This record gives sequence, structure tokens and C-alpha cells, in this order.
Amino acid sequence: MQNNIIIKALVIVVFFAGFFHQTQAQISENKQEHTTRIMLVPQYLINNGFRIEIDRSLHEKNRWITLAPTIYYRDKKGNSWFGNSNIHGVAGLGMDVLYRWYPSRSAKSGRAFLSAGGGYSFISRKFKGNRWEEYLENNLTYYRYDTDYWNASYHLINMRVTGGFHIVKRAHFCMDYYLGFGVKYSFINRPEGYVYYNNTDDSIFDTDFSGFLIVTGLRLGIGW
Amino acid sequence: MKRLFTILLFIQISLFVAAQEPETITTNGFPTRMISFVPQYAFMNGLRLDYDFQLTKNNWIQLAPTFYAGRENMDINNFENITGIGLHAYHRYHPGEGFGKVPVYLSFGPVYQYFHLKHNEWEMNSTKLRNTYIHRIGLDVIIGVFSPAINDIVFDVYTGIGLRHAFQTTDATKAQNFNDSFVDFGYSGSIFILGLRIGIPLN
Repeated sequence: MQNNIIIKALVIVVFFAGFFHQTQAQISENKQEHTTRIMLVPQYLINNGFRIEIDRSLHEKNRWITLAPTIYYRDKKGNSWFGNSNIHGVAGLGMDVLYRWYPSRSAKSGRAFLSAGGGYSFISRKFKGNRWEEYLENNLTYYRYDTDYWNASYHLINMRVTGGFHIVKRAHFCMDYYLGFGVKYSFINRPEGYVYYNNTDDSIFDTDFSGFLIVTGLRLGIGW
Repeated sequence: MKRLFTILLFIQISLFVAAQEPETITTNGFPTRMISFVPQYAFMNGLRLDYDFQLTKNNWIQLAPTFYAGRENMDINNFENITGIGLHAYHRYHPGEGFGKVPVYLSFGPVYQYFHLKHNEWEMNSTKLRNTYIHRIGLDVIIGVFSPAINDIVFDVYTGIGLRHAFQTTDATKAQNFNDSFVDFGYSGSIFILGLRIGIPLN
């Protein structure tokens, strides 16, 4: 399953690399007014996420669209900083689309923005746990309490509204801070029979979380 | 899916070539070729030498062969000896006026690494030397800042995110994964990238 997800991830990366090259031909001569930005969002690494945000200005310079593909991958036991420490691997893909509006039309003073949008992610997490396993021996059905790995799949839908500003805005470099709120809903598929130790201290950072949440973070990247 | 990947890769290469056609190399006194070394790789028994060359005003290729050899020199892993090679192949994009005038850049590209680790395994009241072979592939996306390129020595501070996936074989009875943290040789997952390059322009 993970190999299939890696191939899907490669397809998405190659697609967006092509998108990036195509926009090269449309480089703005104006140093201040970017038309394209490629931003990295490092805090997603806490949840094993590799997230890039591609910002493109629309016809009006103060209206932008953001595409944010995210790849989640870790092939070992997770840490217990945020969420369940019984997770032994994670693989997944996500895509968010955000609309970004700069209230000021002036590129020089237009440091503050509002953004709104949402997205979908699919994440598969590997757990280690106990289950009652049924097996056949000498035509007799036996049950044994067994420890084994099992996978849970998550379909996550999220929407968010944030406000932010450029902490640093140079000719071709910018760093943003954003803060807002969102809503997330997780559809979870778990196999039958396994004992799932549900943490009672699920946080907004955990994949299991459903509900309203604070959205905050940093982005840094280059623009042209 | 593999066919789709191949088609997209071909389209990307075509777009890349098309994007180069109208541009020409204008050096403006700035170097067009450079050799760099990346000192922090020494912590992991590595020697990384980068060769950067300019394609157009805005586009560079950065080839970074890496060699690994020696005994464990940090308490990150538990092995006796390592040999290995690696190659990072980045496309580096300097926006706007290009390299020399704009210090920031975006680079991205694939990574391949091969490691042969010799390590001890306790078996039948004795310690035996075992071999673990790791092939690791990955992809990096990096942004960085160059010091003024007019100098004789160029400093490049970079940060970014990456993905790694390791394929491992071993002759040990109980496999040692070498994946305690994201800097380990056998780690698979998303990683944080931070580093410094020290470069010498060749022209």
C-alpha cells in the first residue's frame, strides 16, 4: 500500500514541478509584485507532513489562489508529542485549496491578508495492538489473543479561515505568520476485532481529531 | 499509475527545456560554475562536494556526490564501520534578476544514497559482525540564501523539507533498522533540512 502511495506522491510532485517550470516563462519584472510564490510550511513535519504551498496571483494583484499539496510519510514508531504513541507508521496525501485576499491593493503596504478554503486528506496509519484471532486446527476453531500490526485509514475534510501578514517581505523572499480557526472532520475505518486504545487526551494536532480548531503557523518561501 | 508518472515526467522535462529557450547566460561578472563543500556531513562520516553550474540567468544545476567512510564518530548510530555513496541532483531557481543579484533561491530534486553498515550482533554468547545494506531514495525542496556572489568564497545557508524511503537488507538475525531519528541512515519519512555550504567560484 505504501509503495502505491509513494508512486501517487511522485505523480503529484512531478505535476507541480511542471506547473512551476511553466510559470517561469511568466516571470514578473516588478520586484515587489510577485505573481507566484513557492512556500514551505515546516511545522507540518511535526505530523510527518511534507507540505508545499503554491501561491498564484489572480487577475487582480490582491487576490491569490493557493494550492497546498501535502505528503505524509513516516515508516517507524511515532513520537508521543502529539497524539497516539502506538502508531508505527503513517502514509498519506492531501490537498488544500485556499483563496487569499490582500485588503490593500498596494504591493508595498499589502502585508496583511485573509485566506479561506479547505481540503481533503487521506492518511493510513499503522498500529500495533491486540485482537482475538480465529484459527482452524484439526477441524476445530480456536481463538487466541494475538498481537499484530493493523492499519486504520482516515478521510479528513477540513475548512479554515485565517488572517496573516508577511513578517518578512523582500524582493523575492517572504515569511508569513497566520492565525485563524478551522473545522475538521475525520472519517475513520478500522478493522474489526482489534483493541484500539483511544487516547482521552486527543489534541487538535492528532489525526483523529474532529471539531473546531485553531489554525496557526509560519510559511517561508520565495516569489517572483 | 507508473505510466502517468512517466508521462508527467516527460511533460515536465519538455516544459523545462521550453522555459530555457528564450534565455541566455549573462554572467555580469558573477560566477557560472562553483564547487562547494558541506561541512556538516562530516558528523555522519560523510564528505559532500557540490558542483554547481549555470544553465540560464535564473536556472542552475547542482550535483552533489557524497561519500561515506569510516568508523562511527558520533553517538547517533550503533555501527562499527560504514561505506557509502550518494547523489543529490537539484534544479536551482534564482528568481528575478538571477544569481548574483537575487540572493534567495528555490531548489528541488531527487536524492539517492547507498550505505553498507557493519555492526555487531550478540548471538550465542558471542559478538558477530553483521552487514546491513541500505538503498535510500528521496526528494528535497529547499530554499536558501547566498552571501554576495562577488566574493572569492560564497556561503549558502539553506533550509527545507524532504522525503526519504529506505530499502534495507541484512544478514543479521535480528535486523537493526538504523532509523532512530530523521538524521539516521535508514530513516524513512519526512525530514527537516538545514545546512550550510561553502563554495568557491571557478570562474
